[in-house]
Amino acid sequence: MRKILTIGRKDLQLVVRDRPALMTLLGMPVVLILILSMALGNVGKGESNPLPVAVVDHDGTDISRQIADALVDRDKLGSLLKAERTSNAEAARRKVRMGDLMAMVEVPKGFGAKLDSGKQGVLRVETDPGQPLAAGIFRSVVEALSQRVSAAAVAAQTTSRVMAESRFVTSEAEAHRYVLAAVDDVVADKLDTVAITQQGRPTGRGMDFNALDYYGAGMAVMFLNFGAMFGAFALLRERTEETLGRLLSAPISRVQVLAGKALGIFAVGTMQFLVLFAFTRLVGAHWGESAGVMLVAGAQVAAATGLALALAGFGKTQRAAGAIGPIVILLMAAAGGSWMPVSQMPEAVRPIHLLSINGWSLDAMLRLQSGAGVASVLPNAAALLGIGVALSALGVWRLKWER
Amino acid sequence: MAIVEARGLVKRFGEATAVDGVDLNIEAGEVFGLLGPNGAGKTTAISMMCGLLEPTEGDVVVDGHSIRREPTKVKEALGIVPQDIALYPTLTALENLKFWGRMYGLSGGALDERVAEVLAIAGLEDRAKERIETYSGGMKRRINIAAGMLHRPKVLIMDEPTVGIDPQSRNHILETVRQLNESGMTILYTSHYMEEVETLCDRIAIMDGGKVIAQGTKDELRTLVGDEDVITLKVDRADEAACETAAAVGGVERASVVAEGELEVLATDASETLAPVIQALTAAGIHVRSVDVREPNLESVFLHLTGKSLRD
Repeated sequence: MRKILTIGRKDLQLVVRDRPALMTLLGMPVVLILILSMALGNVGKGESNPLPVAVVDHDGTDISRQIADALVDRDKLGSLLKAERTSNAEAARRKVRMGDLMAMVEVPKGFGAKLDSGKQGVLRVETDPGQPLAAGIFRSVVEALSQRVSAAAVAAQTTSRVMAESRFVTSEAEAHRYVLAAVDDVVADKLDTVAITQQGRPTGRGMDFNALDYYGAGMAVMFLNFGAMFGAFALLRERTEETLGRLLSAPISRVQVLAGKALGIFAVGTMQFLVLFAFTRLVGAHWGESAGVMLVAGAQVAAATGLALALAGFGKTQRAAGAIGPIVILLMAAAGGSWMPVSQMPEAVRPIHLLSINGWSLDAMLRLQSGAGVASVLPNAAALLGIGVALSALGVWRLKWER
Repeated sequence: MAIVEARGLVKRFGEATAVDGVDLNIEAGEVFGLLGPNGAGKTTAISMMCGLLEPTEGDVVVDGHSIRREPTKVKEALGIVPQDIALYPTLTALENLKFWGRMYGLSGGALDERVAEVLAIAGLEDRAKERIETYSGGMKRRINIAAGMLHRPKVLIMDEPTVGIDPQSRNHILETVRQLNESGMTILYTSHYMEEVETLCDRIAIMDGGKVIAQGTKDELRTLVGDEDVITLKVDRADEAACETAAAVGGVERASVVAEGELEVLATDASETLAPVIQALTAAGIHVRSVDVREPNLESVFLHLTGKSLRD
């Protein structure tokens, strides 16, 4: 174990002494985070690519129709959402699960009757787990709408009962009209608020979306992969500069040498993340629950370590790895959302993000930023560790030991 | 007693055979030379001895341990000085030596003490805290050697340790080899510089085409050539025709081109043969610029055995 630690520590020392590498691994992401967050501060708030939502009215009453009409009214929703009414709830549900719809809202049967009788009605919402930020915002808006409508109906019903006792209201139909009018007021008022909220920035941390937060995570993830590329270079240099031969001539096994090299790459990635994390925190970025962030970062660094071994294994020489590495890393960054949110991409290409380290990592980071806890990112951490193990195995299988 | 014993070593890379049935016996306490031109298979043979390459066939036993069965024991007994500078350029000499010492299991005070000793042997104590990248080629070679002997190996394998360095550093390295051997260390020294091997080594194996073509002391190897004198002639045109002209002179055993503009003639008696050789060459229109006569050396042995020069 001591020899493994010695190799790992030596590799960390070599990177710390390598100024060009440090500039790439730490200087570049810092500059890019600042530039992108200043230049693209409106990301996630744009007018393009409205998020598709389905509205299903199972109730079919005039109250439920009023709510469904309001939900599909583009003027009231604003440009971020594009809602359409449908009668096929199962088809809509499937689309949500496949990521073709961001969400569906169901007005359940008996919703109008509940409101007429002064009880609380609940709108059901199902959202795409692949778009946690937008879905979170939408769910909270619908839940708030549901509560406001119920509260207004209860108030109208109570008022009409009091008026009936005072003989001002003489029939149930008249009481129903009071409820309907109250719902109409709420729906009109609330949806205007929804539209403003969707286009602007909610104040609650749970729904905050900020370019500095986004690019802090996006660039950190991308440059951790570049760190892995430098790790691959270091491994390949050991071979071309004969130090690998000298290591293997010492009483140390190949497994120990590889473990030491992997430890070094992991240590460099950890240092890189901690520096970028501290810097972005210092300039005001919000990362969410620290334990979750560290868990995801650790898993991401493990995946990047696997990427380093795979690049070294398939690249064979530093020149080849230097040609392959940036292509792989930039493709993963583009597909995985390091440059622009996956939710802003065309629907057809969104699923590709799960093929990249960036996709799994950023999805988890954004969940944490939107207020989710550690438990919600455990599957992502597991996926990243799995990617790390698979890439490491591929790299070790392809690694050439002799010069 | 043989401290290193190679038995029937073979290494094939696909269709190519780099080492073809090498048998070597290196006695404890001797300096053993492995001589051969570039590509002869010396480095491949050494790589198998130190466990860097797995032999296709055969085995190496070092200090009683088989490289196949007990590689760690063999590696502990060996110190390696690779042909290239196998050091980390951005680390200081001190950091490099401490790293390599730890790889051989040294730690704490024992490591510090040994690092100080090898730095003294390398003559670089005052520059120990400078990065290797700032060193001259010769200084790098000295630290490269120091790193190989940190753990006091029983056998130090030095693969072409003087390639591409200045004469002063070369002399320092050769002197270091002598001192290490005097202290009891067995040394396997490979080179394609005939003079170094001839000066340093007690016994020598000559390799060519992956095989050991001769093995023995310097005197034993010289007897392979016979008693012929070696006449080296620098001429304005060294080619096949010049060789044939020289070889046709009575008393000449063989003539060959050893370098550009250089003929080597083996003659039974140089004092009688030299003048007729020069006359024959002059008559053939070949101008002789200088002449050197000497007794047979390892170069002559190699030429005798292979028909080509070590520098080919």
